[in-house]
Amino acid sequence: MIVKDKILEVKNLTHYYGEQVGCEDISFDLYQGEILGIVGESGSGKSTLLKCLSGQISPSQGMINFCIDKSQPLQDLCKISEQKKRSLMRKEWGIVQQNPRDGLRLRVSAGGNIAERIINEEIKNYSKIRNKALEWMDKTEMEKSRIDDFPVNFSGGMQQRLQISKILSSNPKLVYMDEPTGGLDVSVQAKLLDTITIIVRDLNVSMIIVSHDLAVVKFLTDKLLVMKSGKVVESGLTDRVLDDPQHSYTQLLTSSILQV
Amino acid sequence: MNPSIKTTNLQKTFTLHNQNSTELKVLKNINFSISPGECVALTGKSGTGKSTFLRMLYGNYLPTAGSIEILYNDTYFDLMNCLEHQVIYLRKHAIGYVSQFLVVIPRVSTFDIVSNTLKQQNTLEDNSNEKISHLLETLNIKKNMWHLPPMTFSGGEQQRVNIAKTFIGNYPILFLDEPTSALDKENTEIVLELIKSKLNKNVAIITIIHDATIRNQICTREFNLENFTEV
Repeated sequence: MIVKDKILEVKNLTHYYGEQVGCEDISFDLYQGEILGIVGESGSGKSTLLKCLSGQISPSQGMINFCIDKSQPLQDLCKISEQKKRSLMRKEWGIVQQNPRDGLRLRVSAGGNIAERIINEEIKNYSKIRNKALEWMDKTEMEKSRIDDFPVNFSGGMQQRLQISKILSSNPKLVYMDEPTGGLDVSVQAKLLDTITIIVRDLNVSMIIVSHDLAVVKFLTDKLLVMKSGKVVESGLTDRVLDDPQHSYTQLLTSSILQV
Repeated sequence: MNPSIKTTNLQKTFTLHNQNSTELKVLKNINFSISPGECVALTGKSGTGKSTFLRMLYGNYLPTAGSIEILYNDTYFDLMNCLEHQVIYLRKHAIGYVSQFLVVIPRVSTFDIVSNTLKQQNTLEDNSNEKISHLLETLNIKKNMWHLPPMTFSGGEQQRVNIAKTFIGNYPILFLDEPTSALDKENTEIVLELIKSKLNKNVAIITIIHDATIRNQICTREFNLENFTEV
C-alpha cells in the first residue's frame, strides 16, 4: 500500500580532490515526491555531493542510479553517455543555482528565460508558451508586467523567483537546489521559502536541497542528511533529526540555533 | 478488536554528547496498547515523559529500544523500520496530532490550512467547503477571520484552528497534547463534544490533559508513566 517509486539510489558515493576528501561513502535512496535536505557546515562536502549527483563532476567511486524510465531498472549515471547525460540535465533535472545569475540569461527577457526550458517540451505555440510563462511568474509571485524585462535589472529575490519559475515550469522529475535562499535578506527569504513550499507540495516533484540553514530545511524537506568532514553522520525524517538528534555534531548544530 | 497501537518494551534514553555525554533515562519497558474507541490519558508528574512517549509514537523521537506498531487499513506498520515516506504517509492518513502549539506555513489562510488536511487525505469534494465552514463555526472561529493566516490570532483561537485542522480529517488515531489548555469553559465543552463524537466513530485517542475534571469527562482509561521511569 505505501509503496512509492524509487527515483534515485546512491551507493557508497565518494569523491576525492587529489588527496583531499570531498565526500566519502554516501548512500541514500530518494523516492517520488520526496524532498531531501543536506545540511552541514561550510566545507563538509554538501556541494561536492550535489555536483556529483547532478552530473557536474564525476565521482571517484560509487554508484548513482537514476530512474530514467519507470518500466526500466535504474541506470548508473556514471555509465551512460555524455550525450544522454546532457539530455537528462535538460529534460529530467532542474538545477537551481545558489546565485541566480548563474542559472539565468541576464540579457534575455524574463519570459524568454522560462520559455527556453518549456520549448523543449511539446508546446511549440508562441502564445501558449507566453501564457505558461505568465502563469509561472504568477505562481512565484512575480509581477506579470515584468515578463518582457531583462533579469539583469531585477533584485536578487526576483532573480531567484525567476530561476525557480524557469526550472519548475518544465516539470522536471528531480530538482537540485543549492542554498536557494542564500544571500537574500530575511523577509525576502521567508516569503520565497513559503512560495517554494506551497509550489512543491502541489507539484509532487522530488528535490534535493543543500543548505546550511536549519530553518530552510525544517520548512521544506521530508528527510535529512547531516554531513561533517565529507561523511553523513546522521540521517532520517527531518523533524526527528532536528527534534531528537542522535549524533554529537547534530546536537551541536541544533543547539546553536538562536531563539528569536 | 485489534489494537490500533502496540508498543513492546519501549525505552527512551537521551544522550547529550556535548554535555559530558550525560544520559537521561526517561522511560523503560513500556508495553502499551490502545483499541479503537478508547481514550487513554497519559498521566504522571511534569517531566515523567508523557510528551516523549507521544512523540515516539509519532516517529518524532527515536526510541532507544523496543518496538511500535501502528494499525492502518488492517495492516500493522513497524514504525521504527518504516522508510521516511512511509512515516509521512501514516501521519497524513493514520495519525492526527494536535500539538500544543500551531505550526503552519506563514501566509496560508485559516480556511486553507483546514482544507489542506482533506487535500492530503484525497478527500476534498464538492461539499467540503460546507464541512469546513461548519467545523470552524462550531469551534467559534469568526467568519471574518477565515481568510486570514492564524499567526496573529490569540492563543485560544490558534488552538481551535489547530483542532479544526486535525479534526476535519478522517484519522483512525488521534494524539491530543493539552487540546484545551488555552480555552475558556464554553470552548472547552465544545472541544470535548467533538472528541466524544470522534470516539463514537471508533477513533483511538491518546491525550495529555492536566485538568482531572476535564480528563474524566472523556477518558476511558489512564496510563501512568511514572510506573515506567528509571530510578
